[in-house]
Amino acid sequence: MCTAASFAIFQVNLPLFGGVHMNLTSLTGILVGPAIGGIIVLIVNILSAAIGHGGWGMIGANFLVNMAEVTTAYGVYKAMEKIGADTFSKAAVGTLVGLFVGNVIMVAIILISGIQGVNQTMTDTLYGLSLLVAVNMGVAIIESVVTGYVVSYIQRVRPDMLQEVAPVATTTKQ
Amino acid sequence: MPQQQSNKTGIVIFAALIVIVLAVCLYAYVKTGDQDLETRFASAVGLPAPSDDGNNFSIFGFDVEGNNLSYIVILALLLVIAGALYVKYGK
Repeated sequence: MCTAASFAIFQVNLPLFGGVHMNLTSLTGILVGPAIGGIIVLIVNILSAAIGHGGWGMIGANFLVNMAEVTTAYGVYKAMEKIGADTFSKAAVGTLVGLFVGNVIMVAIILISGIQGVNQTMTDTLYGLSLLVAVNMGVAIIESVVTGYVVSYIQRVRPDMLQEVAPVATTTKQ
Repeated sequence: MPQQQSNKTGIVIFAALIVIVLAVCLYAYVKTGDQDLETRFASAVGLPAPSDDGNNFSIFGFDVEGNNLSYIVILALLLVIAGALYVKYGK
């Protein structure tokens, strides 16, 4: 279900800031955790490449970015439980921070690997990408509010979905 | 009462983050102008602007990246698989 929702949203261009898209990686991380979330984002990236959204050669880099989002959102969501924040705030802040970290990882990958056929300096690239990240974070606000409401709704109607599941290895040993 | 106070803490953190992010985002948007994601990325890294293939189906400005038919087929397959798994294991 998470894979289908994430794939459906990931391909849709929103008419905001000239055209951007959401990806629901943070929601995936909060709902299923980093382990299963990693599998989901890998599947979504492969299917996205299959329809021509992102190249096959970009799957590894996209996976790293998405995995950072999944893990950070999950970590922040869990960390905010310690200050007793409500479900909406935990999910929304987790999403916002997760997407910011994902953007930072994206910039780091580009700066480290470089881009063929580009003559501008690393400083110029960093400045340009910083502006890109800043615009992307505008959409992160929308995604964080959406994620906050979705997680709050799930907390109300199916609280069992948000409970920590015991790892398989632990359950089989007993 | 302590629960209510802690709820406010979370919202205050979120509101503060939104104000900061929104201010930086609007500054960057004004600075770079109205461009789509690919054009904005190309100009950020110094690549030539990508050409628009012009075959995307659009509703109220919302359009689908990549091949539209493949998108519908793959999404339909995912929904069928998700529905089947929910019926088998979800209850």
